[in-house]
Amino acid sequence: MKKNNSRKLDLYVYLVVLICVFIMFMGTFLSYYVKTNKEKNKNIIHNSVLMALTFNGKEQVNINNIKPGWNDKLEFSVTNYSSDTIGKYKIVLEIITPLSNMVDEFFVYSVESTCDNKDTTNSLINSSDTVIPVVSKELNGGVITPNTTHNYVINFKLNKNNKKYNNTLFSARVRVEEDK
Amino acid sequence: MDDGKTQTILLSIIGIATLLVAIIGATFAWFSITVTGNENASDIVITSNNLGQVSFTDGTVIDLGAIMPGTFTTKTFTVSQTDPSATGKISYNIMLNVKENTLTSASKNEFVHSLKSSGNTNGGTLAVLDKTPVPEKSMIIGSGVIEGYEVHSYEYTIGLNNIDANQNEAQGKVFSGYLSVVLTEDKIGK
Repeated sequence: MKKNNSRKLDLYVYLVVLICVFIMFMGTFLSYYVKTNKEKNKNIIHNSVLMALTFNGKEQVNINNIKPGWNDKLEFSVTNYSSDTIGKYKIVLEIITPLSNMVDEFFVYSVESTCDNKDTTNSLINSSDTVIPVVSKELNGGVITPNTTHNYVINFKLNKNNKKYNNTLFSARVRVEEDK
Repeated sequence: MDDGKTQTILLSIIGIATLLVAIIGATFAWFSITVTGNENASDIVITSNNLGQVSFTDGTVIDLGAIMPGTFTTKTFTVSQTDPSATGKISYNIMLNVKENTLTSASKNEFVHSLKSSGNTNGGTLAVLDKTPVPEKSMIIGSGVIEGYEVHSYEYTIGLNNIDANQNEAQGKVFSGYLSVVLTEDKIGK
């Protein structure tokens, strides 16, 4: 009887050892699989977008004692100097000194743009006459392919009207930021 | 007989301990694979952005016709990072783009240009030129590197030196061109 029990115990031990070996094989296989997958993930591609905002002339619009009919413009370009990476950017219309604390329906801006590359991936920022805000505003959506230049003109104008603008100042500039 | 029983119990304990370790190991591997393993693992693309700003205060175009000896024209411009918190580098070339130049050959190396620079506050590299003869064709006249947030200021001067000699040959000669700044990619570490 005791011999039978001992045999049973031995059988249990063999069974446990067998299961252990099986599980260890599984563990080793899974560990190897994890390792190879981690190695797959090690392919890190580091792209860099090199863009430049270029002003050819003034960088800021300033007007003292504005009168209806006034207009001015800012001209600049955005160039992607990268050879292989598409860049995304936004134009920030920075209002340094607003015309007043409230928007004026006659005081508008528009954005005209041209591109030297016909690749349709390029996306330019355009805007018809829009009321100039009293605080800075982001104009999103610029996408520029490698070795491409986007040319911009932002027109500012105070449409003719009968309102009085006594000693009113206005000052604004643009900057370009990456659009994530 | 007791020895055999003790041995069996010992073997059982070792076996169970091994089983436990194996299960823990396998479970850990399983969780690892579910967290990090990816059969469709693809490349990780990291895109960093460098945005520079080039400002030509008084335009880029240089038109010199009927130039008098001792007359110089100046153009000022800046090259900078747009982000004040920037830490990266931006390399650039300053180019003189020549459309027409009949002055250089007629001026006996007295048609010269210079580039004064400042602003490498973080140890960046500035381009400098000192009364060098103007090239007949377009060329890079200087290179710089912006380190972090720097504003490199340049004053470009172009003109005809006045010398104690006959400079009549330069009469009626013209120079027409423009300046440009081209950012250059730094492929190191890419």
